[in-house]
Amino acid sequence: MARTRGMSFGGVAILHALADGKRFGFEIMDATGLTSGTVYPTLDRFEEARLVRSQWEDARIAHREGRPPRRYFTLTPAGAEALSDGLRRFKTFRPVAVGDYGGKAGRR
Amino acid sequence: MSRTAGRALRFALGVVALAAPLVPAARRLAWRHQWTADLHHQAAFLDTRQPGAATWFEFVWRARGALVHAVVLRVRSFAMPTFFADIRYGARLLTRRPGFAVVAILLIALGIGANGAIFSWVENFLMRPIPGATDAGALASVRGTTLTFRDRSTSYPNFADMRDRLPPSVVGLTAYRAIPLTVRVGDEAERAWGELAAANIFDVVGVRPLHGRLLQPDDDRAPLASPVAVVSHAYWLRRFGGDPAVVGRTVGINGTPFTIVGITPPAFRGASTGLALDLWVPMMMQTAVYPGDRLGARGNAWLAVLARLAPGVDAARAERDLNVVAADLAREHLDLNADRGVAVYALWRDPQSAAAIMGPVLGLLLVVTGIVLVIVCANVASLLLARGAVRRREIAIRLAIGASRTRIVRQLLTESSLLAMAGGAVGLLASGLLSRALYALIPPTPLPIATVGGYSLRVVLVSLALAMATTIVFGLVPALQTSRPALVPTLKDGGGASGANRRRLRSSIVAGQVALSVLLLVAAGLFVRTLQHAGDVDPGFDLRQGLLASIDLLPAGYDQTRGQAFLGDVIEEIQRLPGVEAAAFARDIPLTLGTGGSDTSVEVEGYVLSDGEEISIGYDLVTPDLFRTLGVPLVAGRVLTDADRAGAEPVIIINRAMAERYWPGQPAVGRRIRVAGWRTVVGVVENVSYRGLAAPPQPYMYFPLYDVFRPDMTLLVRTAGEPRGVVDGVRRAIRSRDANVPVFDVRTMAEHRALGSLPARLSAVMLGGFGTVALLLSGIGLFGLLAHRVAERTPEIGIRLALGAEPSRIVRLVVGEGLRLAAAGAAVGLAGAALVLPLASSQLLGVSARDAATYAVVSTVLLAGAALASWLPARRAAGVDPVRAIRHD
Repeated sequence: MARTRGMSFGGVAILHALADGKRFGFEIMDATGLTSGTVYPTLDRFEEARLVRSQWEDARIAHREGRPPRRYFTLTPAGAEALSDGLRRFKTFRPVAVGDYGGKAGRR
Repeated sequence: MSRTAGRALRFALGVVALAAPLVPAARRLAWRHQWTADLHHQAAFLDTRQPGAATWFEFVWRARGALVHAVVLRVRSFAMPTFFADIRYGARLLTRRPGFAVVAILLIALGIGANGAIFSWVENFLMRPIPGATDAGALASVRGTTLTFRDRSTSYPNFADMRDRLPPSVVGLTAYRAIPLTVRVGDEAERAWGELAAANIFDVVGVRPLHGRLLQPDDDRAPLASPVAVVSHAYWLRRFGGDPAVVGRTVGINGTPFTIVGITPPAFRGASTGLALDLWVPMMMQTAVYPGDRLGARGNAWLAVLARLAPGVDAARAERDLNVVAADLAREHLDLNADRGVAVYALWRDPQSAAAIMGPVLGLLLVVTGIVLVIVCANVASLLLARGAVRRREIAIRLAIGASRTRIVRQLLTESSLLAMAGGAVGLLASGLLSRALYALIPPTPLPIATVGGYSLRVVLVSLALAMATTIVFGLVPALQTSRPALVPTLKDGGGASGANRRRLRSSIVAGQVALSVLLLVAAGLFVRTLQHAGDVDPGFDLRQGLLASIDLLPAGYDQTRGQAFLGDVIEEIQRLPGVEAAAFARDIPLTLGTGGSDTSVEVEGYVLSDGEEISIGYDLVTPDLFRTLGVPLVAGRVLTDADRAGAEPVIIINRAMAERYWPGQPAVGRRIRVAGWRTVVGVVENVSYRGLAAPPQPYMYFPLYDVFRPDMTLLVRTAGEPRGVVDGVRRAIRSRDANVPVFDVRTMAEHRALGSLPARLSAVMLGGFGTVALLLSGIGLFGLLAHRVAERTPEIGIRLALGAEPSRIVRLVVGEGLRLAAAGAAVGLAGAALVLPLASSQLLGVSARDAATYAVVSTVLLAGAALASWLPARRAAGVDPVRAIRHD
C-alpha cells in the first residue's frame, strides 16, 4: 500500500502500540509517549485509510464499571502489513506479533 | 476519586465542551463520547499512584489534545473539497497575471526578509545571549560595584569566596574570561580564542558534552594540576576535521601541553555574549595561559561572573542576597574590599555584554524594518484593491449566479494566503542571506564575533506569523470590500457607489506610505551625517595611515627583562623599514569598540577627596614613541624616553582632562600620583578618544612599558604610504628575532576606526537601504494610484481634451494631484520625525535630531520622486485620444 511507505516513526509507533494490545487514545499515548494532539488525529487518519478500525465498547460493560463506553481501535490486515513494513524500517521497536490480524485482533 | 482528580477531570471535560462546536456536526457526538470516555479512564488513574500514572497537571495538559483534535477535524472536513479548488483557481489566476503575482510576492518577501534578518540578529544578541544554555532565563550576570561604578569585573579570590558561600537564592556561580590563545597542534601554531573558566562553568550554564567530558570540579583542585581543555564543536570541525579520536590528544596552548578531554555541543559557543569561542581551560591553569599571577590577588579584578538563580528568584532578589555575602567579604578584607558590592543583571541588561553595545542599534532597526513591513503591507493592499476593482465584474457575476459571500471571501483569502506563503518562503531565504550579508558590515576585528548561521525555529515562526498576519491585513479588507458590491450597477457599467470610498482609502494608504518613508529617510540622513562627523571629529590624534598588529610574548616564555629587550629591538628594527615613520607598542588602542581597557584606583597628591569619592582612571602601557606614532600633541612637560625604565625614577604621562580635573589652573608637571608607589607626572598630552568619539574626554594615564611590563601588546606603525605595504617587513622583523612569537590581528588604522563606528555604520546603511526601498515603494504606490485614477477618468479627460483643454493642463492636473498627496504625506512624516527621532539622539554625533538641512534635503528628494511618479501617468493622460476615450464604454 503506497500510503504506508513513507509512514513516520510516530505512525509506526501507534500501529505498534495497537498490535501490542493497546486499544484507545490514552493507552496509546502512554505506550508511545506521543501527545494527544498527534495520537487522536492520526487514529482518525488511519481509520480513513483502513489501517485501523474502531468500534464502541459494549455499553453494558461500561455501565457496570460506572463510566462512559470507550472507542476501541484495532489493526486491520492492511494495518498489520503497514506495521510489518514499518518495523523493517525502524529497528528500534520491541518485537511484537504482527502476523495474524485477520480482524479479531488486539485482545490479549 | 480525590478532590484534585475530580477537579482536573471537570476542567478537562470543560475543554472538551469548549472544543466541541469546532468539530463538524456529523462527528461531534462520537468525538465527544470518545474524549469523555478516555478522560474518565485517565482520571481514574490519578489517584492510584501507579508507576507511570499521569500527575493531574500532565492530565490537564493532555486534555488540550481535544482542542487540537477538534481543529484538525474541522479543518479537514470543511476545507478539503473546496480548499484545493480554491488553491487551483487562485494559482491559475495568479499565473495568468504573473506581473502582479511576482510584484506582490517580491514585496512581501522584502518585508519579511528584512524582519527575519533583523530578528535573527536580535535573537543572537538579545534573546539568546548564551545559546546552548539550559533554562537561560535563570542565568544572570554578576558585576562588581564600587561607590561610583556598577559594571566592574571580579577578582578570583572574591569570586571563589562568594561561590563557597552562596545564598539559597543562587544555585550556582561561575567565572570566566575570554582570552586569546596560541594553540599548537603538531607543528602548526594558530591563534584561537578561549575562555579561562571556573571548572563549574558547564554545570552552571547547563551544557552536556558531545564527546568525552567537560570541565569538572576536580579540574579546579590546585593550580596547574589539571592541564585539560574542552574544545567547541566548531573548532573541533575546523581544526580537527571532526575526528572523535581527538579526545585524549595533547595540544600546546600558549606553550603548555594540554589534553583535550571533550567537545561541547554545536549550539554552545561560550559564556561571553556575542563571541564564539574555541576552547575552555580550567581557571587553575591561569598562569600557564594568561599573564600575571592572578588567582591569589584579591585586588586584581579581571573576571566576569555568571550566576544561576534558583527557580522563581529574580535579579533584584539575588543581588540583595549576594550583597550580604559581599558585605561580609568587605569586612574581612577592609583594605581591598571596602565599599565593594555586586550588581546582578539579567543577561540582556548586562552593561558589559554584546547586548549593551548592539541593543540600541537593533531596537532602532527593528522599528525600521517594522515600518518597512507596514509600507509593504500597504503597497500590497493597494495592489489588491486595484485588482479588486478590476475583478468586481467577475465577483458580481459569481454572486449573481448564486455563490455565497463566505465562499467568495474564502476564495479571495486563499489567493492572498498563496501570495503570503510564497512571499514568506522567498522572504525566509532572503532573510538568511541578508542576515549573513550584514556581517560583511563588521570590519575585521580581533574579537571572534559570533555570527548567526542558519535559521532558528523562532525566526521561522516569526516569519510565518508575519506572513499570516500580512495575509489577514491585506487579504481581508479588500476581500470584504469587493464581495459587497451593489450588484445591479456593477453589472450595468462596472462602476459603483463604493468607488469614492475605495479611492479615499487608497489615497490615504499612499499618503501614509509617503509619511513613513520620510521618517525613515530623515533618520537615515541623520546617521549618514553622524558617520560624516565621525570622520571629522578630532579623536585627539592624527594617525590615519597606520598599521596595527598584536603580539603575545607569553607563549614564548618571556620574562620582564627579556620581554622589554625584545620589544625595544623590534621597535628599532621596524623603524628602520622603508615607509615607516614611527612605531610603538601599546596595550590599549584609541577608538576601540566596547568597554575594553583597564582602570586602576589612584591617589592624587594634594587632591582632597569629597565624601564617597574615589578615583579610578583608565591607563595604557606604552613605549616612548607612542605619542609620535599616534600624533598626539604634547601640552606640557616632556614625553617618555628610553631612559624611563625600571630602576630610574618612576614617571607617568597624563592627559589634559586629568590635569584639568585634579590640578585646575596649576601646572600638573612635577606633581605626583600613587599607583602601587608614587610616580611623578613628567608630561601632559592632549586628550585622546579611547572609547568612541561621542564620549566626553575622561582622565587617562600612560605608564612607560619599559617600567611596567605586559606580554600581550599591540604594535602601532605610522607609515608614509599604503600601510599594507609594510606588513611583510613587520612580520619579518618580529620573526627574525623570535619565530615563536605569534603575530595576529594585523589591521590598518582605517579598519580599526571603522570598527569603532560600527553601530553608526550599521544604522546608516540599514536606514539608508530601507529608506530608499521605502521611497521606491511609495513611488510605486503613488504611480499605481495615479495610473489607476487616470484609467478611471479616461472618458472625462477625453471630454476635456475634446473641448479644447491643453495637454499641458492635463499633465498639471495629474501631477498636481500626485504632489498634493505626497506633500500631505511628507508633512505628516516630517512632523513624526521631529517627534520621534529625538529618542535616538544618544546615537547621533554632531548633528541634532531636528537638523533642518537633513529635513529639507529629504523633502526635496521625496517631492522630486513624487513628481516623477506622477509624471508618467500624467503623460499617458495627456496623450489620450479624445475620440477613443469618449467611446470608452
